[in-house]
Amino acid sequence: MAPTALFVPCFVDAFWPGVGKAVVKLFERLGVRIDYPMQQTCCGQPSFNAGDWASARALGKRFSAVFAGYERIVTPSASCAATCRVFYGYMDSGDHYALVGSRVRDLASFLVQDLGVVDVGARFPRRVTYLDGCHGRRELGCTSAAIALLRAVRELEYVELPKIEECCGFGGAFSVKYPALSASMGDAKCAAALATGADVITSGDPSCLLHIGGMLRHDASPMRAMHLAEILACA
Amino acid sequence: MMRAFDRQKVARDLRRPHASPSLAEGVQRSLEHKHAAQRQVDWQALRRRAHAIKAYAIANLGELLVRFENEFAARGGTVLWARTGQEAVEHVVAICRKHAVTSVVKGKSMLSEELDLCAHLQAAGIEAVETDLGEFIVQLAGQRPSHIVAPALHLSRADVGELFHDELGVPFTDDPKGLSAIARERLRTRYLAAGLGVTGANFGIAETGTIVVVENEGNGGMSAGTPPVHVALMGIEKLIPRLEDLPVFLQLLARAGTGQKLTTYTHHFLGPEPGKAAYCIIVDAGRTALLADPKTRESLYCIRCGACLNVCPIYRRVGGWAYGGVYGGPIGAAITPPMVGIGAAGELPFASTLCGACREECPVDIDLPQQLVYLRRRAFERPRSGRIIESRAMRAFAKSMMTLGAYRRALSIARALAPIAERLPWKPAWLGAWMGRRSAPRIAPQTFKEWWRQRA
Amino acid sequence: MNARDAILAAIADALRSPAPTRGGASDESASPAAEGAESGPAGAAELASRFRDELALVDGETHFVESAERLPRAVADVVRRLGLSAVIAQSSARASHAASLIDGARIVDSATTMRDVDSADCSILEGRALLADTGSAIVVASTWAERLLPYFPRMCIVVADISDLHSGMTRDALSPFFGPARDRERGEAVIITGPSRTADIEKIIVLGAHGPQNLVVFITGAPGG
Repeated sequence: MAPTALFVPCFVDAFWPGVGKAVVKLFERLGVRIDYPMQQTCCGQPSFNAGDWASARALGKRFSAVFAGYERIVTPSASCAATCRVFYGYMDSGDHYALVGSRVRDLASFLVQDLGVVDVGARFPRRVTYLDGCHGRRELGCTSAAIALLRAVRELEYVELPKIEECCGFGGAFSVKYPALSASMGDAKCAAALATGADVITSGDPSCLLHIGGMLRHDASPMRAMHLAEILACA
Repeated sequence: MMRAFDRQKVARDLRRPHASPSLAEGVQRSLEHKHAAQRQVDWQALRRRAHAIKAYAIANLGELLVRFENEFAARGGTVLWARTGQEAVEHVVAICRKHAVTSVVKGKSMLSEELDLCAHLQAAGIEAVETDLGEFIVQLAGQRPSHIVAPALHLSRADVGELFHDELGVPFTDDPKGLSAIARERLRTRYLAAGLGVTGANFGIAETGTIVVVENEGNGGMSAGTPPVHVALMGIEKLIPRLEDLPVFLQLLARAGTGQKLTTYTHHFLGPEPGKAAYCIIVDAGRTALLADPKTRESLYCIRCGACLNVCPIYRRVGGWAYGGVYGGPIGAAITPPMVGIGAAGELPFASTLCGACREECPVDIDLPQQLVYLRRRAFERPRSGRIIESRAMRAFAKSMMTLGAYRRALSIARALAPIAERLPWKPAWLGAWMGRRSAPRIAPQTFKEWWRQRA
Repeated sequence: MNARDAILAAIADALRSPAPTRGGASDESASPAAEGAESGPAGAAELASRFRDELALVDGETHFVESAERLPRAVADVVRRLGLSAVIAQSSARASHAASLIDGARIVDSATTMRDVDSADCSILEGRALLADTGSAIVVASTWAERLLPYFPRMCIVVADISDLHSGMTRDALSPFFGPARDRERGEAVIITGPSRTADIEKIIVLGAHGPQNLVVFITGAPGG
C-alpha cells in the first residue's frame, strides 16, 4: 500500500501530543508505514470558522502542497478531516486543494474502511463512553466505525452516551465568544457522561475532548478524557 | 417597517442562556413525537423531492408568480404586490377603508409579524385581534412570539392564567382547558363582528392560483371564512408549481414541525363565494435580497415548520427573542442578516457551533450550516468596529501557521506567556470566561514535532 | 415603477446568477413529478380499521353503518344521545339524507343566516374522500355558510361511504381536494383530521380550541359494520 501521511493538527501538536504519539504507536503495531511531513501546521479550520476565507484558502493551499503525493492522509481529528474533505470544497475555486483535502481520513474511518480493520489488538479494561463530535458524526459519518473499534477492544465495556447526538458546545471560537452557552452545553454533556458511570470518555475529536475534559477536571471529576487513539494504542 | 434590529441587545441576549424551562421541555416533546411520525413515510425521499420542487419553483419564480396572479384573478380574487412591509400594511389598510372595515381577525402568519400588522392596524383605528391561541396570549401580554409554531411556549400555564385574570377580568385558573375555553368564547364574538380576516399562506399553487393554509385550531378557517373579506399575505417564496406538488409538502410539514402526521385542518381556499371578496398580497420585504445572492437562495426553500428551532441547542437556551428579528433559531440566523443587513445582524451566524443538527432535521434539506458559514465570511469581510480586533487576531493566527518558522516562534511566545496569563489578576473577558469553567490546556513540554524529530 | 414590476424585475435580475447546484441535482427544467403516499393493496376491511385507529389517535370517532338506508337512524341516535339539538347540514344529498331523521335539523340554503350557523351545536358534512393513513376526511364547501360548518359548532359529523375510503394521499383520494381548484370553483376544500386542537399552553393538548371538540365520521357500507 502506498505510504500514508499522518496529519497532526496544530492544537494536538501543541497541547496534546500524546494523541499523535498514540497514533504512531498504533500504526507500528499494525505494521502500517506512515510518514510525517514536518512542514505541516494547520488545516485552516479556525480561519474557516471565523469567516476568514482568504487565510483559510491560503492554509488549504499550503496543506495540499505539504501533503502532495500522498494517496491517503490520516488524522486523529475528525473536525480537521471534515474541514479538508468537505469545507475545502466550499471554498476551492479551482485551486484544487480540495482534491488533496478529499484524501484526508479521520482515524476511525481509515482503520475500518481503508485498512479493513476493526480489531486492532488493543486491551483496555475500563468502562468507556463515546462522545460523537458533530463534524465526525454529520459531515463524515464516522460514528459507527469508531464505536465498532471500541467494541472490539478486549475487556472494554462500552456504554452509549445518552443524547449522543447533542453538541458538546465547544465549536472553536464559540466557546470563547459565547462562554455561558458553551458551558451550559458542556454541562449537559458532562452530566450525560457521568450518568453512564463510565471511567473514561473518548472521542475521535480532540477539540471536543479538551473542552469536556477541561470541564471534568475543573469539577474534579474522576472521569478521564482519552482520545480514541490512546485507547486503541493500549495493548 | 420591520422593527429596528437592535444589535447591542442581540449581542447581550445571545450571551445569556435564560430561556424559560417550559420552552426547553416543550421543544423536547416535539422532537420525540416527530421522529416517531417520520418513520411511517419514506422521509429521506420526501425531503429530497421537496428540495427539488422548491429549487425549481425558486428558479422559475417570476413566471410562477405571474401565473399565480392570473389564476387567482380568474377565480374572482384580486392580487396586490408589496415591495416592503410598509407597502403591504398600506394595502391592508386601503382594503379595510374600501370595504368600510373597522375590525379585523387574524390567523397565524409569521409574515404578518414581520409587518407588525396588528399594531399598524390599531394605529389606523382598526381593531385587530389575533385568533391563534398562542398569538392571542402573546398579544394580550404585549409580547412578541418566541417560536415560529408555538408563539407562547415561553409562558407557563400559571403565567397565562395570571395574564387572563389581569387583562380579561376572569377568575384565575391555570387549567389549559379552562383557559382555552375563555379564549374561545372571547374570540367567537370577534369573528362575528369582523369585517375582514387576514391569514398567511403556507403554500400558493401557481397552477390554480389557490392558497393552502394548515393549522390545528380552526381559527385560520374561521378568520378566512367568517368575515366577508379575506386577505391572504404571501411571501414571494411560498409558491409551489402544481397541485401535484402539494402532497409532498403536506407529508413533511406537520411531521417536521410538531410530529403530527397532518395538522387538523388543511385548507384549500378556492376563490371568494358570491357576495365575498378575496385578496392576495404578494410580499417581497427582503426576500429578493436572499434571492439575489446565489449562496443564500436556498434559505428561501424554508416552509416555516420550526424543526430547526426545536433541535438547536442554542435556540433552546436563548429562546426566540434573542435573535433580534421575527425569526429565531438557525433559519433566523440564516435569513435575518441578508434581510436587515450584514452590518447589523452579522453576529447571528456566529452564535452557533455549526453542529449540523438543523440540517439533519430540515424537511426541505436546506444546508443551514453552509448558509451560516457563508454569512460568517460576508461578516468577516466587512468588519465592524467591534470586530477589527478579532479580524486582526485571526489574520495573525493564520500568519503563524504559514511557515514552520512562524509556527515555532508563536509556540515559544505562547509557552513564555502561559504562566503569566494564569497569574494575571485581570484577564480579558473571553480568557476569564474560558478559564473560569475549565482547567486551561497548557502547551506540552515537548510537542509532537519535537518528539518526532528527536526520535528519527 | 409599480411594486409588481419592481418585484418581477428584481427577481429576473437575481436569477441571472444561477444557484450552485448540489451534487446529484435533479433536472431543473421540469418540475419533478410528485407522487402521493404509497398505497399497497389493502382490502376495504383493513383500510376501514386503519382509518378508525388513525382517527382515534387524533381524538376522533368512527362509526360503521351497514348501509346508506340505516345512516339517518344511526346519526340521529348519536345526536340524541349527546343531547345535541341544533343541527345544521350541508345541502348535498348525502348530508341532508343523513340529517333526515333529526328533529329541527337545518339544511343550508339561501335563507341560512349567520345566527343559524353560530347557534348550531352540531354540523353534518359530506366526506368526499377518506384517507386511512391519517384518519382524514375531505370536505368541499362552495357557499359561505357551508364553509363555516366544519369550524363553528362543537360537534362535527362527517358522513361517507366505504367506496370513498383510500389508503392515503393518492391522486384519486385528492381528486375532491384538487378538482374544484382546477374547475375554478369557489369556496373551500378542506382536509379534516380530527377535532380542533391546540397545544399552545405548555404543549398540553386541548380539544375544541375554536371549533369542534368532537369529530365523528360515519362510514356506510363498511364490512362487519
